[in-house]
Amino acid sequence: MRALVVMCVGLVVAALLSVLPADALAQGCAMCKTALDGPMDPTTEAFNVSSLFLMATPYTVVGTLGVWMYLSARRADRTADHDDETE
Amino acid sequence: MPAARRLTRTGSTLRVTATGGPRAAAPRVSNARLAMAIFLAFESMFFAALVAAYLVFRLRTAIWPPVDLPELPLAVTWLNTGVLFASAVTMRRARRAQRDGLRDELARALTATAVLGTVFLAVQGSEWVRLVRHGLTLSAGMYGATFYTLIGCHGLHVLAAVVWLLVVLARAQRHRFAGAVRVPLELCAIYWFFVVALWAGLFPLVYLL
Repeated sequence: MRALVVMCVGLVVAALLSVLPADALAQGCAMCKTALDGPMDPTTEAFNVSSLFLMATPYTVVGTLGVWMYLSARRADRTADHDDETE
Repeated sequence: MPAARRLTRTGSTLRVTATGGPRAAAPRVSNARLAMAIFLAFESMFFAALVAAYLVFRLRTAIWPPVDLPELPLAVTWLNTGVLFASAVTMRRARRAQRDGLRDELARALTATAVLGTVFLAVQGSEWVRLVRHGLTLSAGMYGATFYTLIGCHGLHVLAAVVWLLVVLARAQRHRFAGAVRVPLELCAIYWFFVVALWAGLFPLVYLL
C-alpha cells in the first residue's frame, strides 16, 4: 500500500515537472534595462545604492525582530526561574 | 519549594506548585508585543521603500536642492529633533512610573510626552507653511514630492502616536491603578520609540545629506 502511495506521488510530481517551461535567460525589467544599461552614470549608481539598501532592509528588520524575540524569551525564562526559586 | 514545570502538548509551559494545581504560564513573548513587532516590521518596509525612492532621486541629482527652491530649515529642525528625543525620555519615565505603580507620575510623564509630540508636529507644520510660501510645494518637482512624501508620512505617524498616547492617558486617568494600562502603554511606548528612531534616520538623510 505504501509503495503504491509513493508511486502515485512520484507520478504526480513527474507530471507536474513535465509541464514546466524550458530554461530561459534571466530577464530584468524592461524599463530598468533601458534606463540603466550603460556606463556607471549617477542614475545607475543611484539605482544600485537604492537596490542594495532595499535588499538589506528585510534582513535587518527580520534580524532585529529575531534578536528582540530571543532576548524577550530569555528575559521571560529568567524571570520565571527567579519566581520559581522564591516560591 | 520550587515549582515543577511541564510542557503541554502544544508547547506552552505548565507550572505545578506545591500549594495549587497546574496553571498555564504566560507566553514568553506576549501576543500583543509580537503583533506590534510584526506591524512595525511592515512599517519599516514601507519607509524603506520611500527611502529607496528618495535615494534614487537624491543621488542622481548633482545640485540638491534645486537652485530655484528654498533650502530646508536646519536650525529649527535640529531643535525640533531635540524635542522629539526628549519625548522618548519622558515616555521611558512613564513606563517606569507604570512599573512602579506611581499613578500621578505616570499621568505627568504621559502628558509631557503628548505635549512634546504636539510641539514637534506644530513646528513641523509651521515650517511646512513657510516652505510652501517660498515655493516648495508637493508639485515643485522631485525635491518637493520626495520631501513631503517622506517627512509627511513620518508626521502622520507622529500624529497617530500622539492620538494613541492621548487615549492611553485618558485610560490611565480613569483607572485607579497604574497596572490597568500596562499593555496599552507598553504597545504605545514601542510605537513611540519606533517613530523617534525613524526620525533619527530620516533627519540626517533628508536634511543633512
